[in-house]
Amino acid sequence: MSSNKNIYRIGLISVFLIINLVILFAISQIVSYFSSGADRASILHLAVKNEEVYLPKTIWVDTINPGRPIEKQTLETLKGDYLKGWYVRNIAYQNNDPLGVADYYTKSARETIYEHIKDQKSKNIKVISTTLDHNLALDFYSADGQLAILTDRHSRAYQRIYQNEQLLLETYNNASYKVLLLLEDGFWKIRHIVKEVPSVANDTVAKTTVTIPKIKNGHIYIDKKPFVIKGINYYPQATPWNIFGNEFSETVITKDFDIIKNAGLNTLRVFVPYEEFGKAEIIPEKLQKLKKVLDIAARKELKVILTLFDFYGNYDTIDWTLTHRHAEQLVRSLKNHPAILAWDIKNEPNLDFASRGKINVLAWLKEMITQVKAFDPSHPITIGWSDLQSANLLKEELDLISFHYYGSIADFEKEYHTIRSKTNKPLVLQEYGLPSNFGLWAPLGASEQAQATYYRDFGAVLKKHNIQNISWTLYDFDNIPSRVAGILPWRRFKQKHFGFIDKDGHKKPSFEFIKN
Amino acid sequence: MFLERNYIIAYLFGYILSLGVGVSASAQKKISAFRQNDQTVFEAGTPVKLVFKLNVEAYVELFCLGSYGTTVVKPIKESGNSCFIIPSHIVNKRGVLDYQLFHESNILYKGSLTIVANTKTKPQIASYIGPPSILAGGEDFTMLVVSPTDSYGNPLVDNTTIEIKHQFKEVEKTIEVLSKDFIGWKNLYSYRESGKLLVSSQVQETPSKELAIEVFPSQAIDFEIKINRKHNYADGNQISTLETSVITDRNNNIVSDGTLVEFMIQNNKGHMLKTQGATISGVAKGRMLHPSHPEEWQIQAYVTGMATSNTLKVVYRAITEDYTVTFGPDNRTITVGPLQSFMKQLIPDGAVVKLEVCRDTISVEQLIETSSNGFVTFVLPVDFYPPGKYDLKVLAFGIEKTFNTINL
Repeated sequence: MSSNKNIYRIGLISVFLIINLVILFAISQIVSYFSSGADRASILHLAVKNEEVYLPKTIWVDTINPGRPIEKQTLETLKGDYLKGWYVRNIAYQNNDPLGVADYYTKSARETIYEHIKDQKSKNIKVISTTLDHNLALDFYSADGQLAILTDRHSRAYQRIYQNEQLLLETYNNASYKVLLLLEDGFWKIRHIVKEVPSVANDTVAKTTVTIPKIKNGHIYIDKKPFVIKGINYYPQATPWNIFGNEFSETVITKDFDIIKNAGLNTLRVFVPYEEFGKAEIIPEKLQKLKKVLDIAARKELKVILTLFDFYGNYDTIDWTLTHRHAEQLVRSLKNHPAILAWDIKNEPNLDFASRGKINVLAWLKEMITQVKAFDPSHPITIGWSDLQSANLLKEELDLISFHYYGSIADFEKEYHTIRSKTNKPLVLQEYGLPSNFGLWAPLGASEQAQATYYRDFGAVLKKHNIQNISWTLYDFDNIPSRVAGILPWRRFKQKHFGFIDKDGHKKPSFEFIKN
Repeated sequence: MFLERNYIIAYLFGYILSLGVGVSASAQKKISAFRQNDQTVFEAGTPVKLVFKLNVEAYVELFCLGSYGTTVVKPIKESGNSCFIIPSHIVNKRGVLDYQLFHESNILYKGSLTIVANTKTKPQIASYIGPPSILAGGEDFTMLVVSPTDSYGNPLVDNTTIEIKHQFKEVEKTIEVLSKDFIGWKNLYSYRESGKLLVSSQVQETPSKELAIEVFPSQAIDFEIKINRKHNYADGNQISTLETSVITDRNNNIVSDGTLVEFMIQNNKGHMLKTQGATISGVAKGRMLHPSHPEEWQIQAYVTGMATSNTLKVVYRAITEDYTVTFGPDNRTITVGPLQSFMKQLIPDGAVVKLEVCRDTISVEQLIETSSNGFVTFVLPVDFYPPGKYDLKVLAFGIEKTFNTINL
């Protein structure tokens, strides 16, 4: 009886304690909610100092003006505010919402923008646009530093117009603008903007001394000698999808490249992850590591197809200019590297069609090709499509048509002939392979012997049609990042066994056929 | 009859067939379009109507890209042609207007118009001036920027005549400038004199508002100083007033009120004294207490960084040759006085007398007292100064008196 009483007591006391704890927690939440108000600084109308959101290529062509010499600092703010003017205008026409326009347009100028928005709303139009470059010349800067006039020559812009959510038109245009800006409340605001007839831009092409791969009659030539790609997609065994991380090791890479070179291969495909490399502002250490990889490749006489924008998936028009700056820094600093064979814009972008919209993805790719061509007019450009059907896309713009194939060998020839008949450009089978993942997670998976047979048989087909190819991949991996293969164990397991060399460093039977 | 009907059916059949072929042929035929009116330059605010003739009946729309953005215009059918009336907010804005006629995302016709500023409406003027204050003398200037627009807010065409007028004292001038890059501008230099510069501008019949620029006197030039004092005795009591001449810039403009002048005084020991004053009508005054002992001062005044004065030499004479020091019975009360000034009068209260107490040549304390009714009394308490032999030094008006080995 007394033990029963004690149980009741303990029960009551613990219920009491729990209720008290809950009440205390609730009170603390309410107090912290009310004591954490808006940031006091938000009362002031200060310029938004967030990370850069809009970075079209912008240069000052000329700042000599009859008014007064301009200070470097002012030149930067003027440029920044002018670009933000374009940014808020693009956003406003995209969302039909004037948010932010008042910060970068004076009262009379913003009226016109509001009328535009009203007109668009009434017609149910939205315009997705971005400018791609601005070449600024300062025409006038007043003595008191409150008024500036500039000419934006030959500014290229991309636009997509939707009506009732239907794509009406996709255009590029090239225009010059004369702009009068006033310094109001610490912002350079646009007072007048007048579109002018664009003057002809003269593109200067820098000459390089590096031996650059050339494409002629559907073949790649380096130093006037034909070059047939026989390569492998490369990740170090210990750090797949993370070559340039903290465990970056030149020794490991040198050793691996030796294996690849000795196996008789001549090409590597290396991936550059977009976010890891710092997005719009490339992290110098990462670029250094990438350069080291290329240096080692050059020493071993291996060519590298550099796949850019790995794990990038935004494609929003307003995000374009940031990715352009990423590409610019990479391509400009690496284009004279002797190891570079081609720029691969993006790995399997067609897989993003469903989630990001085919129009978005293709428009981004097309513009990125133009951008990379501008930064490096010489090297071939390709895109690693995930299947042969997609290889038909953008084939006019690309120099090298790349596709991946993980299907059955029997169906390959037919699909290959379809694409072969549609283009004269060189074709590259940029990824193929078979995992030797027979085991608990894949009772029907291939054994190591079956993998060898696959490479032998596929090799025969490739040889028959002289198809350039890059296999997937050198090593079996221990750890597959979840962003690559998801979290499902059978998928991860599959991804671990594509290698020619197992995780203990022993060559699998398939290694014999690595050079197909 | 029966045959005939058959014929008709066959005929009809053939007709329908040919019609079908005709339709399918026209669908395949490439659509081409031509603009019917060829005007390419329009003034802002005038209605813009573009008419296109198509070779095939088709629904086309017009995409327009102007200075401020883009729009899509739906056609109006007019005698078989497709007409487009460009919305007013686009045709009201100066600039090149690119248009593209499209049919199902295919561009059929491309062209561009130029919208120029309206010349028929009354211009409007926005004028900006800065800096709002400048210095006299003809070297400093203010810049007037005039931006004339039409009534739709478009900058007027280049080479529009802008009259820039200014008034300064008796001068009234009008200068004509031609606009370029939306604006006309002029640097207005100051005159020799200080004052107010009034500026305005005019485009055609439209006047601007009045803008006022303050022309301040320029930098001060070197000046003179003098001293005013009631007497030349170092009585430590009266105040000497230092006064500058009227400070001007080199064009004889009196410097702005409130210009700070610093008076630096060096005495014959090399010590510096400083006083300062702000100018009123060009004159600054600084005040300084007379020294309490004979001194020679060298005084110079500065408008810092701009101008200096002459150096003034001033001598302060001693007010007396001697004074009396009397010791009380126990030597612990020391009376100095009567202290007499230059006319043997008792010195006004507040004259400083110092007593330095030394024991075994080591200074124990320096006592400072001010006079009252011509006397100063020092008391050396027994608690602080134990009995013994002391050396005492009295200092007043620069005269030192020493009393050695005094028994306390």
